[in-house]
Amino acid sequence: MRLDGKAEGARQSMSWLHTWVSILLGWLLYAIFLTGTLSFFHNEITLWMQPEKHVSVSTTHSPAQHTQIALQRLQIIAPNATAWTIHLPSDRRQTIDLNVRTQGEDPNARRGGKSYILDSQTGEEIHPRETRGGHFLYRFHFELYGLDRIWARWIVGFATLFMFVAIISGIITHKKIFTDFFTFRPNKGQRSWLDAHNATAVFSLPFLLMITLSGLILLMYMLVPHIITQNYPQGRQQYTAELAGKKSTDDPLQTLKQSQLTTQQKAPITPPNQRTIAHATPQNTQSPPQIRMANIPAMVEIAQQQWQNNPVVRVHIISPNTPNARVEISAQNSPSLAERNNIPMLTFHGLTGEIIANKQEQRPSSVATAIHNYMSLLHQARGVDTVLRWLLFISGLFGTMMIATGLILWVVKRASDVQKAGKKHFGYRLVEILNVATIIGLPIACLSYTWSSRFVPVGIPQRADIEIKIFFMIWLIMLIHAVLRPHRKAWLEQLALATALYLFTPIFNAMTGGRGIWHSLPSQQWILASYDLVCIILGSLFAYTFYALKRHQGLPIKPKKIVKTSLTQEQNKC
Amino acid sequence: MLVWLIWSICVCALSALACAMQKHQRDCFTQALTTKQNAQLILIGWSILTMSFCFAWFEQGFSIGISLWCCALSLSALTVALTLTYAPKKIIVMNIIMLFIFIAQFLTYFAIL
Repeated sequence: MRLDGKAEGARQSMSWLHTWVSILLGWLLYAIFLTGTLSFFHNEITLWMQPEKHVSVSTTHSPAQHTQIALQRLQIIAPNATAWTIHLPSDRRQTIDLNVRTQGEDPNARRGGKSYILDSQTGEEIHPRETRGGHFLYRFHFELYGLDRIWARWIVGFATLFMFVAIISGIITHKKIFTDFFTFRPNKGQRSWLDAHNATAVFSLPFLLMITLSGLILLMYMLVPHIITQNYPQGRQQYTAELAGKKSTDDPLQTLKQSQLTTQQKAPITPPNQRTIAHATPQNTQSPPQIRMANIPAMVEIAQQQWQNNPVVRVHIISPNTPNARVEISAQNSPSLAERNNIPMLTFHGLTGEIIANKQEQRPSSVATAIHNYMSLLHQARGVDTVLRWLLFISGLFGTMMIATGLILWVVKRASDVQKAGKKHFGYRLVEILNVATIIGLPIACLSYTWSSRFVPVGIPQRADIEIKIFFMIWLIMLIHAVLRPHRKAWLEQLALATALYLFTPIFNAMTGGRGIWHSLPSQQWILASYDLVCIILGSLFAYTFYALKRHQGLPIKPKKIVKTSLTQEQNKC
Repeated sequence: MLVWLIWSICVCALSALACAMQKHQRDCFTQALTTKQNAQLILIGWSILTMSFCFAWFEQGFSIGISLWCCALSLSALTVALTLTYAPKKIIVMNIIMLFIFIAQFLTYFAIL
């Protein structure tokens, strides 16, 4: 029912709901969507922000050679460790990252240990500058910043729920979803914005539904905890253990340890080509180990042969240089998103080189678990290859554009009424300001954050926090600018600034210690090159938007017919 | 690469579906198509879309295949929409180019080239 008491149809009700749900949380959703989209490449953003790592070129060596380089270093720095983890260079990593667990530490814990970063060609240790990098953007998209973690997640959870409502109501509101499927009418004012909003929404509709629903699924433990506590007396641990495919109701950690023991007792599986793995000589000069391990680079080669196009990215050695040594070799991509922890893994005996476990075949999940796994893994782009990661990134940009065009449409739709009234009321002006400060201000703040990694001196205390403060300061400046300047000028000036910053980024990168695009492209450092290329593309888009807005003079307001008729009548009387 | 294969063929499928719509026929062709031609275009469009979906499923498994197909479809829809907006008369030329891309990708994907 409308405020004036008149009855309205379902579509009008949905339209009202869509408009107001979207405008209330549109800016927050835009920030969540933009930072979330960037988070698909948070590792790559971190790499760009640490120019010390740019010297490492990984394309000249094979995974086996990288493993050899890593082992040589590990035998020197930690021959008596509980576990070594080698993260090999891949299409998401340029360096060799090592993690060493000392005596007493859990070799399988997700966090902990001491980390080392090596140049993938020379094996020399790299000491990159301290930064939160892309991880800050990743955390920001579901925990915001400076708020209590639980409160922030509740806020983001509600915003996600609103987004889901907005999508569903938007689908119902859209009268001609099929007949207008390919329709975009440029240079038609409000009609063009509506077309752009509809097109970006309809084209990326599967992605939008997936990302919002999976966002809710990821936050469901907090939003609806009673379902788990009612069905699982031992709490969330029991639920997660069952989700991971363990039927036992024991402590999941204990179950995990037991499964590892069982794995060790399994009968050896013959490698596909029956290769004999010769013993490698450790290059230790300080404290030579008593026991020589089998040739681990050869194990990497065997694993790579088995997985073909799925590259080896992780070598985990438990109890190195001991009779219990075990080598776990993992691939990069998962063959299916319906099963969790399904990334192919081969486990070798550390001394004999025999394959003792081959984790490639798992029992299929139940339908509910498969849907949960699929949604959550796709949302986080875990175990997906680079192509799908790029497609998700592009779909995320579509979603971000959909929110932006919706926010702009709200202003454009009411512009003629405001112009006729002769003054802007507070609410309208507020939306105008927040639109500029968010839609253009946030991308400027994000880029400034990455630039700040080059300006803030290396080695100063709490360096990473200073970078984050710069991000918020720049965003605040953009907001103040939008408040102080007239609406159109604020758009034009911030667009000009965004264009200049984004287009200048590749040169700025080379000037401030990074590897320029003219070096990264020939040496096939795609991570660095693609960062610079994306900045050029986004800069060009901002430049085009600036040009289009500069050229656009606004639509003339048609005088009301009633006024016109009454005037004619008066003239006739006279 | 699989994504280019799906993208190029989905562009052809969506172009066929778009050309079956009367509102786009005015821009793309000099005269409206007959009912029979419209039905043929719709059949071709949906058949190709179904086949490309099955192909993605078969090649990558259901979970990854459907994700890849949906994202590729979004890009294809954008390609068709931009063509219909800025160069509607070039829709046939664009489809011929897409077919060449598809054939080249197909041959490369199955290591025939």
